[in-house]
Amino acid sequence: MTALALRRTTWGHPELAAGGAAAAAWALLGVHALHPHSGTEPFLGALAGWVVMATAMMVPGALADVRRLALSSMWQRRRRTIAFFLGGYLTVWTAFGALALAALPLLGVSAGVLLAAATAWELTPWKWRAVRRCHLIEPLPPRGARADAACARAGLGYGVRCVTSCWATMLAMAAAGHLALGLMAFLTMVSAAEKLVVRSARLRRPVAAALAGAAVVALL
Amino acid sequence: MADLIRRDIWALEEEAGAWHPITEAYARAVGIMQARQPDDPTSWAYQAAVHGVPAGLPRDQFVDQCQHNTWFFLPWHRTYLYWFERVVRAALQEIDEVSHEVRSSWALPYWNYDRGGGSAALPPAFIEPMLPDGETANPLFTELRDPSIASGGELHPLAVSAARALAEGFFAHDPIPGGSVGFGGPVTGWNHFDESADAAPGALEQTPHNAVHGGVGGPGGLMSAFDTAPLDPVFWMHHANIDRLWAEWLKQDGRENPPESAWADEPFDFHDESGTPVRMMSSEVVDPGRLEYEYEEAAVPALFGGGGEGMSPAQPPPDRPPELVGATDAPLTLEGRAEQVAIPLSEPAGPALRADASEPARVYVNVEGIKGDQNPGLSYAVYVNLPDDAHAGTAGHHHVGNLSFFGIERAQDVDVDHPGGHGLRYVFDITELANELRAEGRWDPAQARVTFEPIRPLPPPGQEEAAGAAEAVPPVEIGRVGIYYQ
Repeated sequence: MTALALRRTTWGHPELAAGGAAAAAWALLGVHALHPHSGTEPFLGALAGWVVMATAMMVPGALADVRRLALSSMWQRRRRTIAFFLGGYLTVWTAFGALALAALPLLGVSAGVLLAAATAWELTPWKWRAVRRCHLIEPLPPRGARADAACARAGLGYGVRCVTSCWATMLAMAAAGHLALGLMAFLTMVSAAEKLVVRSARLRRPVAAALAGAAVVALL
Repeated sequence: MADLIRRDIWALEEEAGAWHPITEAYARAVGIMQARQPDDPTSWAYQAAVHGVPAGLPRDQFVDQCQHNTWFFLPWHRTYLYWFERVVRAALQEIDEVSHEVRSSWALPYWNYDRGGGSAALPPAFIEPMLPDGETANPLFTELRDPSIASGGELHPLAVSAARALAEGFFAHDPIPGGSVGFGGPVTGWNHFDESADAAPGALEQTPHNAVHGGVGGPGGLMSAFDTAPLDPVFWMHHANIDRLWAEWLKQDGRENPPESAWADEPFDFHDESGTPVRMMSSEVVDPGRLEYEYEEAAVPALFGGGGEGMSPAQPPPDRPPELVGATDAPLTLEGRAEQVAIPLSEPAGPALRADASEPARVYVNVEGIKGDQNPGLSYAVYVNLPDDAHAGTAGHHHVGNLSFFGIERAQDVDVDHPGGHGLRYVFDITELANELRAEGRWDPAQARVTFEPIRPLPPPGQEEAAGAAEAVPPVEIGRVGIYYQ
């Protein structure tokens, strides 16, 4: 690729850096999975692993919206827009992860049971209403602190809607741990497809069936 | 030579009055279709459902299929009209009052509202409550229209003019925030309404398509809403005119349909006149002759600017993304009054700055995040840098397009299987105006002003003000107005 072609690609795809961050998160988890620590992980370590996992799983499905937001920003604010938006988005997932990691050991619920719950959630109309609401992003002010604040708010709102949609599968991931790479890959594809495929509610039954299968495997 | 000629309904009216045999045959066929069971694919209700279905009703691959805000807008609606026309012609075979000649050659008339001389009023056959026998209710009549239009008023000239659309140089462009969407709409995947975040109406869909929908329907009328528009029999005449304008656009030098297989091979599912499922692709409908119809010759509207050259430059947009150089920082609500926003502009800092030319190759106004519960049935003319002392003679120079709201009720509907949420988005290419103002030293690089002025129907003869003009107009929120350089 020539320098000019590379420049044009980065001009048109400012979300590539965010995609790179997700790829790096996958690589980090892969390396970690090859050299797992023995014993119980401290809470902060588990939370750090959760943040990396949330970045790997949740950023890919958001890239199209990230691109649109960045290209709709003032040129010099493109990276700032992405940083504030994804910062808000991942803050919500981090808060969710902290609660989940604190509560699950107390409740003693297994990943299999939570995958069964995710199967049931997949078949409810509320789940799909939440999926469709994912894209509700207001246009941002162009400049200054107002733009920063609106951008962070947009990320927080996006995160809340995404949690509403994907809470069940991500609870299962919290129980399974961030080194369950196979389950992670499967659930990443599911959440990205639900967000990006046209009329994705058509996927509800096959996805529910796959989740039920995963639940059975996890429970055996 | 095609077998079927689609004629101008106003020409039919001039020839034989409101009830030309072709028009009366249509009315009687509509009556038959309206009497059929809604689950019959040849019924009036089903044919309308093919376009859109309200939330809560079942869907399949045949209903709720219309394509809007996408490059499939024109081929899908051409296919829709083609099968509808065949259903109507089949229904005519059941009607003794229709002559053999009309039965065998009936083709959908078109409503050319842009030919002047009162043509922007509803044709009389759509206003008469009774058929010419004086005993049968007229199936072409509905009370669910804008009160002014229903009582003989005319659509505003800005709402019916296809001149700006016909001047577009390219059918479609790859969508990118801020950039041009072309004559027929942006390149998207299957897009019923708002599936693609890049969805936006092409120039022809903006005006006259969307503007006429709202203008005829008014607030709450059939034509104003996505799911009810085809229930108004004039919908089909309106779309025949849109289809004709596509054919007219292609007659101009350098205009061509998209060559991409992604456009040509997109399949559309319908039922034929016997209720049998059929599938057609865009490539099968690009030539009306292959569908055995053609349009009666009609005067083509003068192109924008009157020069015959077209507004859009012949070159495609530059191969770099547009960049935002200024935008409003708070939402704006339109409620039937003129509104103006001042937009502080910055110097470009990205690709537009690094381009060889000293001035941007393209300048666009984007109106984004347009939301509302209901189509107000009112369009707004959009002006850029309208002088304070502008009058009718000079304002037109600053007019860059119209904002209409067909489908607004769907834009944020998360109860049906569409992602929704983006609101409506309109893009206006203002390159020509910006260049002229620059040349005259009247382009302020630090600020642009965008004015939204309601365009109401012209009152019926003898009335001073359009009915409803003083009534409350359903509000529409504009999320942001931005200026992009490319």
